[in-house]
Amino acid sequence: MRVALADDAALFREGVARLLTDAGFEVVAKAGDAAELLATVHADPPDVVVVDIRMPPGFTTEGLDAAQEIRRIHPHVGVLVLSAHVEPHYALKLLDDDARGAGYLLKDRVADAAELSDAVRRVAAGGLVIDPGVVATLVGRRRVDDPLESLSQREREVLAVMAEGRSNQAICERLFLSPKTVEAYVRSVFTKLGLQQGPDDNRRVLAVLAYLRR
Amino acid sequence: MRILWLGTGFLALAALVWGGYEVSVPAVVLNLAVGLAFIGAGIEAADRRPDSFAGQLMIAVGLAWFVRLTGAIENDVAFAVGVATKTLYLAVLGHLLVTYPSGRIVSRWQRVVVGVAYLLTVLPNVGWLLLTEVERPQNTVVIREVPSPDVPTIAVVVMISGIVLLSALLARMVTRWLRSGSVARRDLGPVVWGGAAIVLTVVVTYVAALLGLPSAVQVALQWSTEVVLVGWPLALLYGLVRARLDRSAVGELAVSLGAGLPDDLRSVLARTLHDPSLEIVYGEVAPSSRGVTYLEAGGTRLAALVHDPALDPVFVRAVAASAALAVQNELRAQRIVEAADEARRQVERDLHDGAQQRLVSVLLTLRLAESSPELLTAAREELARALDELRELARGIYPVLLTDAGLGPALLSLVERSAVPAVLVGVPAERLSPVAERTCYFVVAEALTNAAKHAQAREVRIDVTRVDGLVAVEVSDDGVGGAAELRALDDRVAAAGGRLSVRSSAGRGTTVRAEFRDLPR
Repeated sequence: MRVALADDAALFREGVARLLTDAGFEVVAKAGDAAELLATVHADPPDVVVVDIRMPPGFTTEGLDAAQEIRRIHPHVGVLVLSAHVEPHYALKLLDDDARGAGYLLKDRVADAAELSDAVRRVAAGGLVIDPGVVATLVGRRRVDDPLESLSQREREVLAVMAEGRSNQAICERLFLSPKTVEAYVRSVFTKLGLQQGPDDNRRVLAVLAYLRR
Repeated sequence: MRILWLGTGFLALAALVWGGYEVSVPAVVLNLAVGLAFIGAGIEAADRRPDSFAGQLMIAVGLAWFVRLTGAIENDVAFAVGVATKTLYLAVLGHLLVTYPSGRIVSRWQRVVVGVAYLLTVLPNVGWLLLTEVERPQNTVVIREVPSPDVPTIAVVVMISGIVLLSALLARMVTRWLRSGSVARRDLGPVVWGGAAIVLTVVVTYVAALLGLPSAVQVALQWSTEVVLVGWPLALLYGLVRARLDRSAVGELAVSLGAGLPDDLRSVLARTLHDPSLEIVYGEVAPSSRGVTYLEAGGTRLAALVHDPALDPVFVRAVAASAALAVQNELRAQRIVEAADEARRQVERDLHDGAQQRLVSVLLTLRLAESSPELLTAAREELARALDELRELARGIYPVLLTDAGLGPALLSLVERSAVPAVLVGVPAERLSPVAERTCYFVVAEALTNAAKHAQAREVRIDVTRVDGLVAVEVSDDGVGGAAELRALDDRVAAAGGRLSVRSSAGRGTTVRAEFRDLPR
């Protein structure tokens, strides 16, 4: 699997490149800013782009903007945005109505090689990845007459893992539950919150996130 | 007004010249000059100082002076009117002297003096008219050189009372002048000395009459009184207008204070007010006979000016308002600097006690991990916690979302993290100016923190509107109420050129509202 990498901090860039190489990915490009990344991607589209949200020259959201452009021009290239901000706003900017192959992950997560390569693989396969910290912010929001309070502890856990963009299979593995139990929990969550089950995993993530954000 | 001046002057001239008696030219000129001087100066004073009644009183003196000239008409009715109003002008003059420069009676002694003066000047003359048989009218205006007749007892009583009253007035004027501060001395000087000269000559005239001095002496004295009376209205007018001239100094003061508070505010204000004795008192003012004017801003007393009580209150208040603004800005700037310094100290403490401490632990753990690799996990976990703390700290110092995405997303992020349930009711869809967005954000952030800490609120509602360039931020909770200390926010909103209001009553919750202008870029 071919990965292009962009981050202005050389040490970080090389470290991530090495982690990904060790995990069996082929790092085909390493860029120091958004323009360089876009040039390489346009020349030779990889399977996945891993990009830092904040890069020269403005150090605001250059990486995010580049990721959106790549998704528009090369819909089959997965994008994974690394960020230091636990802000749902940035994560959701990547996810339009028919979003696929996009992810928003806290930079800290690269310390866990398994988590990073899992996210890269899921994005490459067209899935959605939302950082658990971002999901925790959304789920943890205080509300008056909070509908989430009608959920059991287990149901809330299932909801959170769903919002991270994981499939039922992944939920089974994460929460040590059988596929049938997970299906029952998912159904119950959707019923209690009055949500429609989407036709695929991505629609399900979008529905849950939209619900949590309103 | 010009008609009043010319018309009454012409009538007076007609009465003197064609009244039927022979009146000397100097007497005509002096009599006309006194009345016209008072009425003219009075009209000018009333026009320039609408706040004072002194101008109207001056006009009244002039009119009273002219009315008594009916006594110069050879006719029974005119004679009666002339006698009845012969000395009325003295009462009005006393009224003016006692109440100058405001023209208003404010104390009991003033009321007594003025009342007695009117009674003394009108009653005896009317009584004399009713009780005395008069064969034919005489000229009551000009004293002729005739052998002095016997002075009736009643006239003696009236004159002595008049002398006592006028002497008291004279003493009062002089002591008032002596006790005055330099400003009042300067402004009152011509008034007091002119008034004193008039009163003195009137007293001397009465004494001369009582002693039965030759009427030639009395004529000379009366003429000298009239000469003083011609010049005196101008002194009165000068005293009244002078305070007004000083008001242009308020404008200059406002401009100079606008450039920043001077090192020595006291001497600047003392110069503007022409009162070297001026003091600025911060805190409680000891009770004294001096004038006290407070520097107030937004209902708060910042300081007090202790000044010469003779200063025109309107003038001092205008100066105080300018100074209050400057002092408030200075205090505000000081508090903003202090708040910024305090925030720096807080950041230092957070870094030192949090992330820095954790990084030291990581360093130590890594050192130990060289011999026991299982410690690497502990080091990684500690590092992750340090990162979390740094992230939160950075977000608290400045929310990047505000610049990147605008007010709506930044406020939503605050709402999602709020310790008390919060709802974002509305926010303008368009971007505001950076300073407007920052002001809104920090008002909401501070109000949310405050509500979470003190309000015991069930829910906080946040609404931001922008109508015709006026931005209004309202954060209301349904908590227990009670005023909150939001001074830092007050300063921040004021710095954006707006104002912050906090409505809070027990049991009814608290509403923090900030309003400021944000003109389209």
